[in-house]
Amino acid sequence: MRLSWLPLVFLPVMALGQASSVRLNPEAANFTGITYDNGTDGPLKNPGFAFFDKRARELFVAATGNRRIVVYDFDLIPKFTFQHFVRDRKSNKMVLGEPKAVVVNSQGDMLVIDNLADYVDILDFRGKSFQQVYPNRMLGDTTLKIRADLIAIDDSDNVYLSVVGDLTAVLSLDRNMNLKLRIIERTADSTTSIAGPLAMAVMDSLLLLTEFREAPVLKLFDTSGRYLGGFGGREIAKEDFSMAIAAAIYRDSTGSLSFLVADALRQVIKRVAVNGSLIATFGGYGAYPGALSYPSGLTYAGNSDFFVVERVGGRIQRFSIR
Amino acid sequence: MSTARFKTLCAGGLISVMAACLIQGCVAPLATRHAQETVFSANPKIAVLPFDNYTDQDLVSGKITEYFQATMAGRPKFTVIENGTTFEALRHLRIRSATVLRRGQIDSLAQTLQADYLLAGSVLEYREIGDKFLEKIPQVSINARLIDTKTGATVWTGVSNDSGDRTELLFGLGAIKSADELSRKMVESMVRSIEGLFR
Repeated sequence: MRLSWLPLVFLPVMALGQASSVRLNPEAANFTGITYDNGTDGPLKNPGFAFFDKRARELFVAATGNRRIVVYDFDLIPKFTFQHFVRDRKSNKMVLGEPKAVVVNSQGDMLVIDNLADYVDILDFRGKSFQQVYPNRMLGDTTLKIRADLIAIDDSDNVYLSVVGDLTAVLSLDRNMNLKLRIIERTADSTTSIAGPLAMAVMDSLLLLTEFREAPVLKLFDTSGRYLGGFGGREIAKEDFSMAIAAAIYRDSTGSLSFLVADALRQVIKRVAVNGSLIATFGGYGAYPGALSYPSGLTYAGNSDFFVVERVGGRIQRFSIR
Repeated sequence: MSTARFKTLCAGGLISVMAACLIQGCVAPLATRHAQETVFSANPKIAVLPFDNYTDQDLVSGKITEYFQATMAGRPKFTVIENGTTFEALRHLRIRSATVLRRGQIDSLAQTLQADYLLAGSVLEYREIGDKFLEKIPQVSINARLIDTKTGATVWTGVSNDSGDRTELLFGLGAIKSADELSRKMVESMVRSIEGLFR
């Protein structure tokens, strides 16, 4: 009975020790910037996706809770913001959307996926919508109930679009948003195809997908859809993942590639080599700079920099890999 | 004074007052200011930048920009740069709003467009409110400014707020019932003022 107070002392100490083991490791990455600003009327709410346009050195964030897209400069100062409107299927009127993802092509046009729309909305550099691309029309079957889920774009403006619904697949589109190929499709063999992708990233001829439930968690394809390999289990080992919510392909100064993966439940960023070995882990749950509070978006910004968006933390942080 | 003469005088007075009202009503209320020491170059090239929209209506700023572009293009005292050329330059430089233009952005735009002046502005109000007699009363508010690309200074500003019933004489006569028509008149008035700078 006298010792019943002991856990009260030891539990916080143990928790502190656990947290410090995954805290920002200065050997792995440096914290270099932070913002909570949504660029117009207050704090960021529920930001879900980030994309860095290397040509214009601008960061695009889908601020789902604010129902707007926010554009920042490299120093995380807001440059431009606008609300995203989508066409309501029932009333056929324009209603305020909930942008989920945004990527930008070489012309500065934004390709936006919205939670309240099943099409890809294409907007000019000032946020004015000028084209809607419906995946089912593109596939030539308007009876298909599918919607755009994930989007990635390469340096040549080739677009990779993942669709879910009646069909789970990744489509390869050209710069004019015309269908080139159905490159990856859900099949009985979930190891070498996709089951339910959670994040997608592309660089050069590599396409990285993360799985929601299946293993391996990280799956690597080439841009024609050929399976190259997979790694990362769903166990408790350091190399495993709980929810790989966002991913980016990172190229270091020597030109070698590695993968950055945000784990929303473990509250960490993992850097994984192309052979699947874990290089470093950093982050850890918290609200202090360098810690993470439910990361939801990750984008590589060139050189050694990358940005992380946090859904619960309601902020964007910039890191520099050492 | 005879009754007939009194009636003639009253009628004349009434007509004079109505004429004065009509003349006053034809000119949209516009407050302008320009830098006194500035030397305005002859036959300059002006780029009309897209106006910012602070109203709750979509496409309004596009309309006003278009009115400025069209009205100014017909004037002989300056050359207006084609809309598409301006759009391409803005896209290339990723300039999305002209509310705050940094010196570097002004210089880049001037170089790309070979423009002497930039016309920027915003639409603050653009609505039609219901009325028992007139059905609709439009209310429009536009701000515009002219920027000298050589110095980066604002050399002319115009603030115009107008309402469709301001020109009404009696029972809706002379009133403007559409926001589009009202804004076109306001833009014409502003363009006249800009034209007056380049004599």
